[in-house]
Amino acid sequence: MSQDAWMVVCRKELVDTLRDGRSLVMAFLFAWLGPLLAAVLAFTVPQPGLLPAFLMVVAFTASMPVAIDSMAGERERGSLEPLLLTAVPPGELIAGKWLAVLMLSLAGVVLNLACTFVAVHVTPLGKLPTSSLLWMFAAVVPLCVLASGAQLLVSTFARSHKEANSYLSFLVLAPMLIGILGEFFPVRLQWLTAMVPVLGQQRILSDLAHGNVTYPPWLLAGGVVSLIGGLLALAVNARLLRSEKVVFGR
Amino acid sequence: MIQLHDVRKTFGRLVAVDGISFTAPDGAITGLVGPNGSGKTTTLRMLTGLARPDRGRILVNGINPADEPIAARSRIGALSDSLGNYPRLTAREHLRYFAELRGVPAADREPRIEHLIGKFDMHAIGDRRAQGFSQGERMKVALARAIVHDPPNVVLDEPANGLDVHSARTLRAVLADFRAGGKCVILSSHSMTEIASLCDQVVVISRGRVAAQGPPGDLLRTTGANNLEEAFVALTT
Repeated sequence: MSQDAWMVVCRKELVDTLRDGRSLVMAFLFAWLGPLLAAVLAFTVPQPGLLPAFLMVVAFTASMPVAIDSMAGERERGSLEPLLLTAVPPGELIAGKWLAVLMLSLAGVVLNLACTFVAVHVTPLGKLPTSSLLWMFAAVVPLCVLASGAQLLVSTFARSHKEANSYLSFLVLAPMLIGILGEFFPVRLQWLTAMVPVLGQQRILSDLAHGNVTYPPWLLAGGVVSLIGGLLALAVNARLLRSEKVVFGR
Repeated sequence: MIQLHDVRKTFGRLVAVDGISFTAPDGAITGLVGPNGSGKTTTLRMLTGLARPDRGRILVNGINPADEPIAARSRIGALSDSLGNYPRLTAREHLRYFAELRGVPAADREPRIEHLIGKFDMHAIGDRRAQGFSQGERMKVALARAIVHDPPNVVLDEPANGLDVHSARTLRAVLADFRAGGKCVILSSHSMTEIASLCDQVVVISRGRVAAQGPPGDLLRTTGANNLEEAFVALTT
């Protein structure tokens, strides 16, 4: 058995995804749409509070196609069984697939922040310093870990590509609704709020988008909870791949 | 060598495999035949540890796949009934992917892939993406990737499905090479011609049990049939 099987799996998933142009375009739609919308609105009513919602949504949508294809798609096309027969431990297979999902999620986030950088410099959106964008990146990275872990787990659990798509579309509602509602009905940022995944990130990102300075321990607390959540999803996922019901469908 | 002793597997109330025992020795091709739903595929899945028997013991080169599935799988090249290809990867990329996952050393990888491309006459599809492959082309890729690591045991579930005459002949030659090379081969098939021409021993499974086993000639003598197909019908009805 190869020692770097997880890297082989990750590379294959990325190559496979990059060749699926149409899915990729849809996946990264929110990455530039959010900053563009905020930029257009800036000429009438500046709404920097929209930026966190789109940033969080893109953390989920950019990785959705690869998450669906790499587990639910794998089983549906009948390639999961041959893959498991390669004698690579399920934990390594999942780690490789998760890394690919995570990289797509991070790529979406980076593209979104790059578009935001352009938007704040060419429109009257507000004076958002580059350091705030970097803090935003730091705040959203753990959310990417959680999103990719959860998406892959849901995709493994789903019985088909279509079912995985339906479940994951619901999952995107979490950052979407919290991102919007959190802006109009803000919850006070404190320790407990900071540690609730998505909500904590929304409050921190909103503060940053409005030009305020964040309190790093809150960012760290929220990040650690999300990281633990993401890793827990990975562990459960690896266990699921040992189940006959999951491998052969139910 | 693969040994099964009193292996049983149930799915709820359905008894899929009910106390199967046989030994597939090295340097021989063991044919596994039986009607649809007789338990062949479940038996093959238990050999690789993807399914766990409720009772009984399986040994793959002395390793029990129920206890050490990864170790057992590393000693088996298995073609399951799932032929799934990746539509956006070429045939050559499929083989490279599986060779890497199987831990084939980098220096041996490309020569091995080229050998299999040549062996299964995949030159025309080597650099074509799998989207739109015919059933036979998908089967060739699945077969080649199953044996890309040159395993000591080969387990094939219906390998001739969809193959054209030339490819089927190639498959038979490959299997004969495996036997000559001392490998243990288990071949599940519905083609009695294939079983009769290739197999050193045949295990007939019916309703999850071994209905008969032995060399094809012995099965003919036992049943008084003129050919293996008639013997099969006599044993499974």
